[in-house]
Amino acid sequence: MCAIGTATIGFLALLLGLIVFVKGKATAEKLSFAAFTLLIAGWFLPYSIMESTHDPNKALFFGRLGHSSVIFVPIAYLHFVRYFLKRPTIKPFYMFYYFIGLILLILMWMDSKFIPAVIKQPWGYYPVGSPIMVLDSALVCMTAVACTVLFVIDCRRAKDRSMEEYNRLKWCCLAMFIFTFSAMDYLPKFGVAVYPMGFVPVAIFISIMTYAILFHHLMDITIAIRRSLVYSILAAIITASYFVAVLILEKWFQGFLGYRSLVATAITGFIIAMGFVPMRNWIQTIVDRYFFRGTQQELADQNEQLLKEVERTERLKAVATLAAGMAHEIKNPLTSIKTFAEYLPEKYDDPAFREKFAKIMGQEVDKMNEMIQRLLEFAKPAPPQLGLIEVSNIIKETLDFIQGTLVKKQVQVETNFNAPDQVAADKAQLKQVFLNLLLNSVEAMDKPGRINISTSRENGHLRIDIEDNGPGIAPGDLHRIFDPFFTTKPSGTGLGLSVVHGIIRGHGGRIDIDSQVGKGTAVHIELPINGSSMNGGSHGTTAHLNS
Amino acid sequence: MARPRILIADDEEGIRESLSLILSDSYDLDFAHDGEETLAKAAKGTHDVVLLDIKMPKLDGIEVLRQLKERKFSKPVLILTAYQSVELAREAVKLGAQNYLPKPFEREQILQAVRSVISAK
Repeated sequence: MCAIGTATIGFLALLLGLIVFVKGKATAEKLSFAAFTLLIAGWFLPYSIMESTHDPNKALFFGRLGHSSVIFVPIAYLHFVRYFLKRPTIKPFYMFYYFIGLILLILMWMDSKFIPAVIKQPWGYYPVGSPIMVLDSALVCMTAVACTVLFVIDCRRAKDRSMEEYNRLKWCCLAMFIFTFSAMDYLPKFGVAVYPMGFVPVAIFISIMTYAILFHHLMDITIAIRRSLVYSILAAIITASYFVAVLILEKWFQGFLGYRSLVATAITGFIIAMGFVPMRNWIQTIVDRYFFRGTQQELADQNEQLLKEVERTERLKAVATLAAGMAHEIKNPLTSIKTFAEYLPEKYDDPAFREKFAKIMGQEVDKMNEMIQRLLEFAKPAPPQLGLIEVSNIIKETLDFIQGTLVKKQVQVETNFNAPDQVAADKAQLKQVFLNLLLNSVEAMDKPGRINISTSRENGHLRIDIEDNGPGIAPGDLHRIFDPFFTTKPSGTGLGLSVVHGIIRGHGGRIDIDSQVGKGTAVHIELPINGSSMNGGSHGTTAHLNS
Repeated sequence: MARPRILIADDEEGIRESLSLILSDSYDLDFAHDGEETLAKAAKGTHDVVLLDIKMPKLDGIEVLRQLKERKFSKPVLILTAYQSVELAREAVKLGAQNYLPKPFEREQILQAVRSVISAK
């Protein structure tokens, strides 16, 4: 029985890990989760063999094999939590975990003291604990608790930012907390007479986290989890009832006809099955209406309405932020213009004043004009005039345009263009994108540096990567990098990257930024090769830290 | 008698020139272009008043105020900002700012504010 449960969860972990790995774009979050579930599978599958075998030597081997995966579960768990919560990496910390893992792995196979033997338990063979395993279990428990605490902290912070994010993290917190109970599997190893039910919390944890990773864009995973639990129970009841009905009717036929009839059984099963699906659908509708305030369609409509409301609220918040930013950007030049205008009557005869007046007036008016221009471009980017263009040519033209700046700042540029790199795009807008990105990169550098630009094709998209070894972007600034009026430059409207984002989105593409302070910044752009409008294409933006 | 020295901390050249126009007749002026430069110059203790903008590169005005408070900076600080926010004003005063002046400002407003903190010393 235990072996069946363990094996089932092992296969479930493997399956869910594969689903997360293959579905959609490979991200660090998904890769780390896939690695984590693979280790879980590597833990439970050998354990299921250990529990089901009658050979103690085989049981010992598979016990050690399974525990070899357990050793690395804490580090995989840490990696996953770091990427999921987008937290910075603390390298020495991770090196410590890898080092300890390696030592434990060596001890596992070179020295019999880690798992000295297996003992026959009511559910099958099970490893015997040791002092080394005490350390190993302490590490696992501490890691699980620490990761849960991190989730709780981020969940509380998310409550002020976004209800959707809060609900997603709330369930993940619960999943994390539940996962800590998987450590109960250590208890029988130390002589505590409990059934190793660790596979249950692991199953719940993996299911919730898989859902959170794959479908996190839904409004709220709460209702989906509740609904799936109820449906699962109902489906189990209906299926059990189906089999009982078949058995009862078969018995009745036996009594009535006086002999067993396979044909009669088949006909019985067929008749019942005819009514099974409509009955299930009817029950599903009743449950939806009375327990979840609507059928799936009604809930989907409600979800859509709520999403629209959230989008509208977010837009209003963005407008408020924009208005505040714009007010600030205009007030500075207005202050200068006002002050100089006030002094004009009394200082008109002073040539030094007149010279400064002319300079300041021109400068401040130009500043306001540029800001308004950028704002217009950001607020309503012109629809792209698509033509077939070679991206490498656009980039080369842009590099020629800023050659003087590159020489002055001693920035080397290396390009690696993989033909073909043609896309359907607006030439002028793309030029602006590369100009903004390259100037940002160059201007951020405070010493001679390097920029690498490369292109490649994947899945019907052209990918453009622009990486520099500049100062990088601070973690606190990275999530705001595309916000209008946000800038870290001494002089700048703060609209450059907002405009870039708008143009890429208008082309149906996406833009991601990775950065590490002291190491550099990488911008990744994907453009659909055949062109896509903002309404029809996929688009997205992410900015995140690299380890 | 030596004229009072004012440190003007603002990243905008137009603002620095405007304040220079208003204050240069009566005070000696020094300038800082960002938060870090402001801290470095203020720490020398050679100024009688600091006029501090909020939105500056490297370190914003609130952070500069916080660090000045930690270093037990005793000279008066006047905040100048285009952001009009009650929370910001409250935060600045909590961190020791003597006054909070919005932009665009009136020249009399600036002169009066500076005179009052200098005479209060």
